[in-house]
Amino acid sequence: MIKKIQTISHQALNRMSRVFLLSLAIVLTAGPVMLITQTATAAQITSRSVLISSAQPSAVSTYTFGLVPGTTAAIQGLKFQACTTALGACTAPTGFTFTGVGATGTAAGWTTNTNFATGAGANDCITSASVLCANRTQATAETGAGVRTVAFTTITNPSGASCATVNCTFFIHMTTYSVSTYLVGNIVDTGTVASSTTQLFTVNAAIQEQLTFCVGATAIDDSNTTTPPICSSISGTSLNLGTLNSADVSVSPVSVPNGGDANNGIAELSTNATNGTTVAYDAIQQPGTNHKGTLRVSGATCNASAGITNDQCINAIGTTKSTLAPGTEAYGMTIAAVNCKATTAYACSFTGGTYNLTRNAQYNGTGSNTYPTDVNLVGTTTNASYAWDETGTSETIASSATIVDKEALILKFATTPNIVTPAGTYTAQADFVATPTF
Amino acid sequence: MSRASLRTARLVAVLVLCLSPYFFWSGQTSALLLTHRSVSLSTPTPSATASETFQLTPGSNSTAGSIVFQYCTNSPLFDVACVPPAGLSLSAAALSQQTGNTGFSIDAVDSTATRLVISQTPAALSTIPSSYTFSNTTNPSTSNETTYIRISTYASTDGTGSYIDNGAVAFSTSAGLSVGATVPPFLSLCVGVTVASDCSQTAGNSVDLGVLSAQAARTGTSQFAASTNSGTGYAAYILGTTMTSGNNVIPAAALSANRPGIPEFGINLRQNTNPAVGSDPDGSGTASPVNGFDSPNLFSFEPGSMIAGSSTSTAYSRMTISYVTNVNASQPAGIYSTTLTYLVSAQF
Repeated sequence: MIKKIQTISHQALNRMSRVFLLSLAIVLTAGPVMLITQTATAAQITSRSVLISSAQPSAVSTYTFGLVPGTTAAIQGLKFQACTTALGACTAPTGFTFTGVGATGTAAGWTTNTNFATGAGANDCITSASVLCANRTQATAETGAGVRTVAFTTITNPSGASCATVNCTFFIHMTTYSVSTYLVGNIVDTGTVASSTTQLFTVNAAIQEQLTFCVGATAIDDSNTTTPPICSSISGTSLNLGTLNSADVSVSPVSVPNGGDANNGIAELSTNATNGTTVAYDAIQQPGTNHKGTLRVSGATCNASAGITNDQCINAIGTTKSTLAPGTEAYGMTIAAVNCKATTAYACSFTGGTYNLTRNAQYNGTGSNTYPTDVNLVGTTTNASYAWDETGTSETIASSATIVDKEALILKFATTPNIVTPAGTYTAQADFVATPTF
Repeated sequence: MSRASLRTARLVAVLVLCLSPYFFWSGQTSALLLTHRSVSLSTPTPSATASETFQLTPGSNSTAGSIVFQYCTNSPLFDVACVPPAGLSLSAAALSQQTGNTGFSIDAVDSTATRLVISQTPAALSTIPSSYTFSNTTNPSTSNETTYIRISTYASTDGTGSYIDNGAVAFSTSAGLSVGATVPPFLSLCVGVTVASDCSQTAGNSVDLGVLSAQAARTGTSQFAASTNSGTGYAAYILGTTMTSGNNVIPAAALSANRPGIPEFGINLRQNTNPAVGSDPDGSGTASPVNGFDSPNLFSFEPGSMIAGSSTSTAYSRMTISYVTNVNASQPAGIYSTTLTYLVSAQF
């Protein structure tokens, strides 16, 4: 009896199990269909994107979302949910927060550009640190395939702690609603965008102090026709003013037939010293007595007085510039021009007065930005003025308040003997020094 | 040691190891630039003995016990291995002057031929312009070569450890520029009936004394000018003969006055009143007539004699030569003439 009852019971249970299993199979089979049916009304947002103003972890940024609705309908509600993954259960990225977001989501490209207002949300959208709800009253259906954007300010990026590195990807799920009350039944479209924080990438570089300064001889005798060579190509330690006569002023370059070597002097400077640079010379004191730094016969005994013409020291003009007249014994130097034809770092023109290496007033050639006409043997008073400090003290002839790029000082030397200036081989020597202040 | 203590120790060790770079980094980030820094040389001549003056302003008030000046020819950057300039020698350098942050002296032990260390008792630097002049340095030997000097301050007194402030300056050697010229030996002479005082013009080459007379002297003049840059001046000579006409001769005068009726031919280089002829020398030179030709109203003629000169270099002096001729009534008729040559010589 009992067995029968057990058998009946088992049969009944078996029947029930089969019914249950059948029902469960039907449910499991139909379930996805029902779910699909339920979500089939929300289309995919296309051309969706998010642009963040800063990718630095924890930075406060502006997020500009871009989207093209998949459905032609009014969009009056927006929901943004930040997650660490694109699919599955949403976990908010560490450090990310919509808290503090600006009150307005600025709309652009919409059929009607009514801005969205951030708020507490309702129904399917409840504002939190990782959820942003924004709505508007705008019943006009969104039509057209143009990209709409809506920008929200003051959103704090993830800190990066959600990831192994600070280069941390996070996702924002977007949902649009046709009503401003965020009802599930009024979802228009959905979609997900991704962004990433990145580490701050710092590029370091060092610019070293630069100074290139050279002095030599050059055949250049113009301000802007001939390009000065680079320093490594400047050579020569002397120039020759040739055979002097009291009827002329010999001005470099003096031609070969007149005993010269057709050279001027040149001093070229390049530096990145921003606190200025000075170019100075000092006359080397030669053997002899008195006036050791002027154009003189080395070893000669010269009269200590100034203006003496019958000794073997040609009178230096001094630190106050002067023109030279034939036969009035004198020796001097000037900067005929600042030739900056090789300059590339900035616009530079001598005639235009736009050069950085400014000539000292006592060594500024004609006194203007015109090139002196003095050359070779000048039978009249010179066009330019000249100066020469024979004392051996440092005499600044040019200076710059800022950087200098391959500006070349064209140095002209001029002399004339008196008729009684003794015969001899005359020499003047000078050191030229550039002192940049970095 | 217990297991817990061991774990604690390990944890501390790990923390220390992890944080140590930050400690070092923190120390380096306090480094600031030395500002307004420059170096000026007494001479840029390669291999020359020079003095160098450094100007700088510390970037911080950090305590410093030493300042290092390291000379490199390749780079001013501190993280680039330094290549010292050839020929540079700081071995004999002396700190001859200092301003601003003073109290430093050369650390001879830690200085080398290409690296100077100056030290002081560690003290906070003031952010004021300071200068340090090193004398008796030897410049690098290569011309037109840039030398960088890396300057850095250290808490230590021997230039060791991490630098505090740093910066670099630069200078360039230069062989300088020599200007040459030649003044040639100069001697200028011009002769004519008239000449410009600077020899720029001459005119005429003959003087006509007219018809000679026993009653009055017949006179004429010519000029010469000369200059020289000879330190010993010049000497002017007259060459030729007295006036002749075939075998007939008018005798040469010997420092005699004008004597009409007495045959004589003479000259001088002065302004005369008897007869009224001639002019005194003019011009900017220093030459003058010599005795025998320097007395007004007295005339001489001696072939080959020196008539003027200067003992030093002289600009142009113009001499006017007066010719005076007297004859007596028995002087044979004829055309009397002479060709005179003026010679100027100088010794160089």
